[in-house]
Amino acid sequence: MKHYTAVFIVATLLAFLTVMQYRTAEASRAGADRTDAGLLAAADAHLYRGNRKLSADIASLEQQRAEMAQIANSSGTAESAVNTIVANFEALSGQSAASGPGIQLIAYRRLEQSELIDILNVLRGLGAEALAVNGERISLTAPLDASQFGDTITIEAIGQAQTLADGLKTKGGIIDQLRRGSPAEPTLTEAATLTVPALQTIPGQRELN
Amino acid sequence: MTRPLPPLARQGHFCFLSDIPPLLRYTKSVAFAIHQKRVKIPLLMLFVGLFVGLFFAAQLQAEPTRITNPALPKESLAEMQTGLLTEQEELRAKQRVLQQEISDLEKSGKLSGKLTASLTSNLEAAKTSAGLTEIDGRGVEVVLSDARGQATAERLITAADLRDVIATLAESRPIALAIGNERLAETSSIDAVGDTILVNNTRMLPPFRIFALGDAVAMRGKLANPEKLQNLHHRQSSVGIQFDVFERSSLTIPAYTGSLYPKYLAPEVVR
Repeated sequence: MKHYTAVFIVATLLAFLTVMQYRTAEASRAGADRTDAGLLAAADAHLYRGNRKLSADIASLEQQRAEMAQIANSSGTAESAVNTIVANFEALSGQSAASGPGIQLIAYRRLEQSELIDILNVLRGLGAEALAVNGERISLTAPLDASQFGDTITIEAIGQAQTLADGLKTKGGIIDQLRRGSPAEPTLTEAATLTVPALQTIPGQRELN
Repeated sequence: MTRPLPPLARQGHFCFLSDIPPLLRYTKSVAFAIHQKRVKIPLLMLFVGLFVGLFFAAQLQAEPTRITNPALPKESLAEMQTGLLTEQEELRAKQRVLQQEISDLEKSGKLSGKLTASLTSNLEAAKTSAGLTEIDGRGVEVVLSDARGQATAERLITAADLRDVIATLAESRPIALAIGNERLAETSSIDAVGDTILVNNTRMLPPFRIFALGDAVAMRGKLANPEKLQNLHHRQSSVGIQFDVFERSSLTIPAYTGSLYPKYLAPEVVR
């Protein structure tokens, strides 16, 4: 009787494990497909957002073209309008100070160079039009040394405040990363007006032909 | 079913010669019957056990009758990506046309006639610093590409690698930067979705060419310094990723094709 029971139990286990193994193998093949599909979906979502941003850029350019055409066809001077355009470009490139709505993010620990680079990149990707760290204007063409900023780092970004804030608060995103190894919770504040200074040094012109 | 015993054997008698074959046959059939009983039941238990095991396994991983997490098949997503990339190309082409029209308007007699020489010069300088004009000069070209062989995390060039190279080049204060045909403006980002790298939301494929206008000797020195870009240098020697730096006596960096019409930023001073 014991022998028969043993045979029954072994047979049951054998069948169960065989089917489980087969299904696990099938699931991991399907899982790889789902992972690929997940990445494709994320890439598509990113492309979609990028294309919407391009459409918004095109709308801005069309507006700019219309304004320039109006200036060109008007009987008055274009000095005021062009001065505004020049001032905007100078503010965007860091040649002059700028202000506007945005966010202020304070981290209470030292940042690695790669961490700071990535945070600034995320903010640019979220539409930040100007950036400053500890009161110093940041530029893609200017040196950036995370070690000089100490244990408390204040990052300011001018842009759509809610978009910037929501992007930073994404699960597993910047705020979560800044919490790790930090003695205090990072502070994120939306501001109606921020002011960022001009770049301390403008890139040299020596190498132009 | 066993064969019946020979008549005399049933009676307990044993007839030596004539009863042997039937006896033998009887013994064989009894033995067979016993054997059959011994084998049948375990076999039966085996099959029942297998059936029960299959039944439990099937129940455990039974698919629900309704799809609880529908997902588009991969093929549809790939098709969607193709469509989005086509749309992106069309939008960028439209963007380039608009930029050119704006530039033509600026240079046209109607507008330039209204501008003083200094105002025209200021406008050109501001556009140049913002990245809205094509620019020529000396500089460096950095080429990054994936290592050959099976794609692993170490062998692939990532968006983080590109950002690190840009940051290292920035230590020498370049005048202009570009990755491929994408000029980097102050609002540019270098992102990744999976293995796809996006610069200014434009998909980039290896080899990645980074162009920097400026002090070529200084930039080359920074990039060659083993204490900088340690991860890239390590992967170059360990798995063979391509990381080459070339000094160029003449580089052309394209103009930024996006819109630099600020939506939130306002200059502190307007002349």
